[in-house]
Amino acid sequence: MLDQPNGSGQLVWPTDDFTRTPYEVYASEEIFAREQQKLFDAPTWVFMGLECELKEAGDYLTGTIGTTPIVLSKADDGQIHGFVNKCAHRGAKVVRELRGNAKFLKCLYHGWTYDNRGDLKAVPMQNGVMGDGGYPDDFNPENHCLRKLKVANFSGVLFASLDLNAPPFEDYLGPNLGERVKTICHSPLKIWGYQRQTMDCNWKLFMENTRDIYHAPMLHAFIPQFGMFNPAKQKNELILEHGGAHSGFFTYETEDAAAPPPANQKKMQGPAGDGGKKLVFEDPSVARGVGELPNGLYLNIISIFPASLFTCVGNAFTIRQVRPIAPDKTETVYVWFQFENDSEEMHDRRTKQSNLFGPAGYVAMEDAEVMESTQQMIARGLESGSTFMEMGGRDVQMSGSHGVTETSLRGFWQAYCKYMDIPTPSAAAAE
Amino acid sequence: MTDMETEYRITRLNNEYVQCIDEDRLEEWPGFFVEDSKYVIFPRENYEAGLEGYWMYCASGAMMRDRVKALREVNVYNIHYDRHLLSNVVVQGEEDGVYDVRSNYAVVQTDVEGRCHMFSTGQYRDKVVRENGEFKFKEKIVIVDSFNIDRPLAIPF
Repeated sequence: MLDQPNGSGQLVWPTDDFTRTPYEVYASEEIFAREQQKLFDAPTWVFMGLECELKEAGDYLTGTIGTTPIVLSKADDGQIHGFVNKCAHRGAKVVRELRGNAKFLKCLYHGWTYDNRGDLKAVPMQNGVMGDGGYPDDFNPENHCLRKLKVANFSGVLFASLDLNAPPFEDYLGPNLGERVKTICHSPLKIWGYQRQTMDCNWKLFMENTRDIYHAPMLHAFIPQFGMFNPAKQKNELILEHGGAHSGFFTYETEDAAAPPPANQKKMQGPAGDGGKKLVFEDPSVARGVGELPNGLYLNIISIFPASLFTCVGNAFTIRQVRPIAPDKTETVYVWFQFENDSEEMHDRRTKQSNLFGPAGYVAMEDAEVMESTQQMIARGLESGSTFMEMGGRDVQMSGSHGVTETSLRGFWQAYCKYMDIPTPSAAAAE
Repeated sequence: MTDMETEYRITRLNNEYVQCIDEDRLEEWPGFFVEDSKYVIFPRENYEAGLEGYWMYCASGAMMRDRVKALREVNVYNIHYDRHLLSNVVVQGEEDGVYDVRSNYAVVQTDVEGRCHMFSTGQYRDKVVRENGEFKFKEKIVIVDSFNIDRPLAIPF
C-alpha cells in the first residue's frame, strides 16, 4: 500500500528496493491521472510510427501519448511535425481519420483550419459577417496553434514527446540500446501493416510483461516445444538503460547450434512443462528465421519507458505503441515493418513469421489472457497486497547474460518512482 | 448466373464451415480447403490501406494443420464458446471453374462465466473450386471490420 504519512498527500513506496509493487498502482484512478501528468505529459518519448509512413507532404498519422491524441504530419518543408489533435478553439478532435493526406487539417466543429505544422491558418467568420460579430481586433491566429510536440526520427522510427524540453531521444534511449535499434533498422523500412488489440488490463502489466523474460518458456509453451528455448545453444544479453527505465533482451544463436537440449530442460520449465515433448510442424519455416542480423542475433525485445516496445524475432519485426485508456483498459497498436530491399522470398518468410506475434501469435496470444486474468485478481485485491520480484536478486542490475531475473521489472519500478515523485521510505525519511 | 444447385452447394459449404468451427471440430477445418490454398484473417484497416498485415496467415493446407496442432497442443487462450452467424452468401461469378463468393459473418463469443459479447464481424471473400466433385475453398480472405480485437484470436473465423 502506498503510504501518505501524516496525511501529507505525499506518496511513499512501500519498500526501499523495487522487489514489491503495491497492487493499487494497477487499479487506482488517482495513480492513473498522476501517470498522465508525470510520465506522459513529461520529458519522456513514445513511439509514434515510421518515417516511411509519411512519404509525401501532407501525409499524416495519428496515435496517442498516454491518453492524449496525437497527429504527426509531413509539411511541405519535408519536416515531420507533431501536435496534439485537439482544436485550439473548443477542444474538438481535428483529425478524425487514422491516417491520410491533407494539405490542411480542418476542425469539423467551427471550421478552424490548421496546416501540417499545426499552425492556425483560417478561422471562419474571423472578422464577422456583414458587420456583425467577429473576433476582437487583437485576435491573433498565431496564438492559437495546436499544441506542438517534439519529434525525433531515429533510424526511420518516429518518437514524440509532449515536453518541448525533453532530452534528445538518443540521449533518452542511451547509447547501448540506440545501437541495437540501429542494428534492427539495418536498411530502409517498409510498412507492412497494423494490428490493434485492446485488453482489460492496466498498461503497466503489459509493459512489465515486455520485460519479463522469466515467463516466456512457461506461459508460451510454443517456445520450448518448438525448440526455441535451448540455453545450451543460445547466448543471451540483457541491457538496461536510463536508470533501469529501458530494457533490452537479446538472444544469439551460438556456433554450437547442433548441441542437444540440456537434460534438465523439463525442470527449467516447471511442473507444467514437458521438455521431452516436441511440437513438430509440417511447415516449420513459420518459426525459423534465416540469419539477418550480425553475430547470430535473432531475438530483440526492447522495451522503452514508458510505453513503447520493439519485438524483432527471426525475420518478424514489429514495434508497438502502448496506449493507456483507463486503469483497467489498454490498447496496443502494432506497427509491422519489412524492408524496401527484401527479396520476394524474404517477404514471404517475414509474412509467414508474422504468425508468431499479434493477437493470434503463437508465442503471444497467452499474454492477453494472463494480463486480463491478473487484472481481475488485482482489482479484487485493491486494498492490499503487492507483487514479489526477487528472481535474480533484489537490486537493479544494469546488464546481464540471462533472462532468469526480474531486474528489468525492478528497473521499471525504479524509473517509475523517479518520474512519479514517489520516494522510497528511506528517502522520504531523509527529506 | 450460377445455377441453383451450385449456389446451394456453395452456401452449404459455408454453413458447414462455420458449424465445424463452432462445434470445435478444428481438425476438420483444413479439409474445407484444397491443399494448395490460402487462408488469411485480414484487418480491414490494412486491407483499405493497400497493406498486408494479417492477424493469421496460412499459405497452405500444411500451415492450417500446423495452426490446429499448436492450438491443441501448446497455445493457451481464454476459455470460451464461439458462435458464427453467417448470412448473405452471394456467388458473385465464376471464371475458369473458380467461384467468387462473398458472405457476412459475425462471431459472438461466450466466456467461461456465461457472458457473451460480439467478438468479430466482417466479410468472407472466398474462391471456391470443385475437387473430385466436392466444393472446397481455394482461398478464404476474412476481412475483419472490427479490426481492434479485444480478446486473444485463437480459433479461426
